[in-house]
Amino acid sequence: MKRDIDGSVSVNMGGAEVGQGLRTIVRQIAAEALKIDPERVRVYNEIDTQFSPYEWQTIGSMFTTQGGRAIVRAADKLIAILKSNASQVLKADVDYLEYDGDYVYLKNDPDIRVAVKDINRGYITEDGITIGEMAQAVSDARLPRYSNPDKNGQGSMGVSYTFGATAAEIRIEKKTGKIIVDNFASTFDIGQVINPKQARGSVTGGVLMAIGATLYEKLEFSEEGKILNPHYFKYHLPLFKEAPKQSVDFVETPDAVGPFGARGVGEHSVIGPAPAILNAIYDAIGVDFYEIPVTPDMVKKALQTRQEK
Amino acid sequence: MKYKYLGKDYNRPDAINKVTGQAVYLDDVRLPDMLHAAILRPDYAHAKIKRIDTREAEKMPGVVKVVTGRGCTFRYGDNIKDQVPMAIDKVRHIGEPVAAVVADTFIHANEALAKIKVDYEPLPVLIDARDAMKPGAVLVHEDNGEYWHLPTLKPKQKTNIAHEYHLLKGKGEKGFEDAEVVIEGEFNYPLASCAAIEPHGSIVWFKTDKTIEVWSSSICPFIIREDLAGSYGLPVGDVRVHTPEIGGCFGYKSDITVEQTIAWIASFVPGRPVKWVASRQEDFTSTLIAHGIRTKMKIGAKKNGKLVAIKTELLHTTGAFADTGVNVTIASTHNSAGPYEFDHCDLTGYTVYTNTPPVGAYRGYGHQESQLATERMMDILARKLNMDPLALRELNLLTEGKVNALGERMWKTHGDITNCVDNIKKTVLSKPMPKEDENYYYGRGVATVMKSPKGAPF
Repeated sequence: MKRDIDGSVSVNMGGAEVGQGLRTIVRQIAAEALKIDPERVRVYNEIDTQFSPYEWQTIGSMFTTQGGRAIVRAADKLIAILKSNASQVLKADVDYLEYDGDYVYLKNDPDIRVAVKDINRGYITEDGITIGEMAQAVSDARLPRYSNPDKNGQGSMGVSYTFGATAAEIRIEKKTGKIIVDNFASTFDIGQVINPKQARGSVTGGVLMAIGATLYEKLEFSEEGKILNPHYFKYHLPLFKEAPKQSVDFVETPDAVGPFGARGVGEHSVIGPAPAILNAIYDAIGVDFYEIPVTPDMVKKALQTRQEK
Repeated sequence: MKYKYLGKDYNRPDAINKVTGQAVYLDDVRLPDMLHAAILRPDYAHAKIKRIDTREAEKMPGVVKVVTGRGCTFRYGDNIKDQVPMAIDKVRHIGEPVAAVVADTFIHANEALAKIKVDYEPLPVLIDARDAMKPGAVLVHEDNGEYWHLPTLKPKQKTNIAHEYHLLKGKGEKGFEDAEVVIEGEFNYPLASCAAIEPHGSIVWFKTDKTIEVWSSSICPFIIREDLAGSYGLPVGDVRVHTPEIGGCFGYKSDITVEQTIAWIASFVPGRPVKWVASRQEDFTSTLIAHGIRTKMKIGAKKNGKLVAIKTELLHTTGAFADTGVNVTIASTHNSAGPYEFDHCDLTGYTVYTNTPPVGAYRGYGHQESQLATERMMDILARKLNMDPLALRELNLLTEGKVNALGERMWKTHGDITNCVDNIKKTVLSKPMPKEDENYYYGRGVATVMKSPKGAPF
C-alpha cells in the first residue's frame, strides 16, 4: 500500500480477481481504514510474482476475511508512518496525534496540523532538508490458530464460519416431469456487509450454478473412460430463462477475524440448492431422490412407479 | 457500528473493460518469437504406452519440436507428488498429455499432431471409487504410497486409496447406543466441470538467462513459481509468473494444472516462449474436474428430535491424480455433520484413484457434496419422527456454545443461524403455497448450511 504524492493510494495485492469483485472490496476496506474516499484508492491485482506481495491461493471464501485483514493491517502501518513523520513536524509525541484521512493534528487542538500530502514522502523542511520516511507498507494475515488435524481428525480447521438457511419453491410439470424452480431464498450471516450489490450477486450466481448441478450438470463417461459430453451442446448449464426469482438477505453479526467484522460469502450459496430442491421434490410428489442431477426422465419414471403402486 | 464506506454499493472498477472486451486475458498475450503447442491425448483412459513414433510429425510444415514424456525424472504436487507433466510409460485418464507438437502456428502444430503414432496396451478402466476400492482392482498407481506426500496424509500401498481421513468425536459409532431412532442413506454428487467462461491456458518461456517466465490463467501464481523452480532446480526467485485478467475460476484454476505440462514442452525449445490455450473440450477432459463424491450416512436421534450420533463413509472418486482432490475429501468428510451438533461422530473419507481426469477444487470445496446427504437425511428423519423438518433442524443447530465435529466451540462471533432460519420463515415458509392443479405439482424444501474458509497452511 503506497500513499501517492497527491494523497491518493495505490494498493498492490496478491489475491486474484476472478470475477468475484476483490478490487471493489479491497478499495472499500482500504478507504474505510485510511478514512479517504474510495475513488482515491486504486487496486492493482494483475499478479506478477516479482512485484506482488505473496499470496498462497485465492480460495475458500477467504480473501475478504484474510486479505481484507491484511489491508487493514497495512493501513495501520501506513498511518503509523504518517504520524511518525508528523510528530517531527508538529514537535509532539506520536500518541498525542490524530489522523483523519487528510491531516495529522494534535489531539487537543486540531488547528495545529500538517497535511498528509506534505508528509507522505517524508517532510521537506523550510531549509530543504527532508525528514521522516515514505508512507508505504506491506502486510499479510492468516486465519489465527488454523491447524492440521490431530490424531482424532479434529482441530481448528474452520476458525471462522458462515451459516445460512435456504428454501426452494418448485413446480413439477405433470406431462414432462420437468422441474421448474420458481423461487429460491437464501439468508446468510456474513457479518458486516462490505458491498451489498456484490454480495447479492455472489449469492444469486452461486444459487444458479448449484441449480445447474441439481438439475442438469454431470460428466458422462463411457465404460472405456471417454467423456461423452465435453462441450456446452451436451453439458447443459442453466440459462437465464431457467433462473428462479431469488430473495437474498443478510444477517450481520460481526465476525472476530475478518476486517470490520466481515465474513466470507463466495461459496456458501452453492451448498443449499441441491438438498432444498430434492426436499421440495419430496414435498411435491412424495418421492425421495438420492443423487443429482434429477432429470425429467427420472421424475417421469418415479411418477409412473408411484401410480402403479 | 456505522461505517462510512462499507455496506454501500460501489461499482467494479474493472466492469467496463470486461464488458467491452478490452480486458487483457491470457489468450490476448503475444510475445516476440512465440511458438504454439498442440497436445496429443490418448485413445484409452488406462493403458501402457508401448511405443511413440514421432518421425512423420517432425517432418510436417512449421514444426519446431515434437515432445514426449520420455526422460522426465520428476513428479510434482503440493500434497502428494503423484503427477507427471506428460505420460511416461502409462496413461491414467483420457485427457492426459501423451505427446506435443511445437510449431510456428497453432494450425501447423495441430496438423502435425495427427501424424504421431502411439501403440498402447489397454488396461482395465476404473470410473467409480466403488469399483476402485474392490479387492483385486487394477492399480492406477503401482507406486502409491512411495510418492512424497504431506506427513498428515495416509496413502495405502498396493491399493487405489490415496488417503484415508478419519474423524472421531465422543464415542464415535458407539454413540448410536444412545439413539432411539436410526436412519441410513446413500447419496451421490457426480463428476462435473467448473466450466468457467475462459478455459485454462499458459505461456512458458525458458529464457537464455536461465530464468523461466510464465503467464497463466491461474489463481495460484506463487505455487506455480515454487513448483516449477523445484522441478527444474532453480532458485524460486528465478521463476516469474504473471496472471492477466482471469475469466472465471470456480476452483479448477486454484491449483497447478496445465502449467507443468506447458513448461515441460517449452523446456525443449529454450529461448522461445510457447503458448497453449485449452479448447473447450480439453478444458473439460484434461484439466481438473469436480465433485465425484458418494456419501453413505447414518444418523441417530432421540425420539424428541435431539441428534445423537452420525456416521459418514465418503468415497471420493478423485481421478488419476489425487494431489488436488485430497483436501476436498477431508473438507467434505468433516463438514458432513452440517450445521448441527452431534455428541458422537465417526466420519471417514477415502480419496480414491480412478481413471477419470483428476478432481480438484470446485466452489464449495466438498461442502455441498456431503451436506446434500446431511440435509436430505434431516428431512427423512423429520418424517420418521413426525416432526416439522425445520423444527428438527432448529433443535440441533450449531448456535453459541455448541461444539462442532472438529471440536471447535461456536462463539457468538461465528454468526447467528437462528436468525437466518427465522428470516427464511418470514420470506418463504409463512406464505401460502399453490395447490396441485391440472398441470403441476408444487413443493417446498429447506436446507440449512455452513462453511468455513480454507486457511493457508503455507
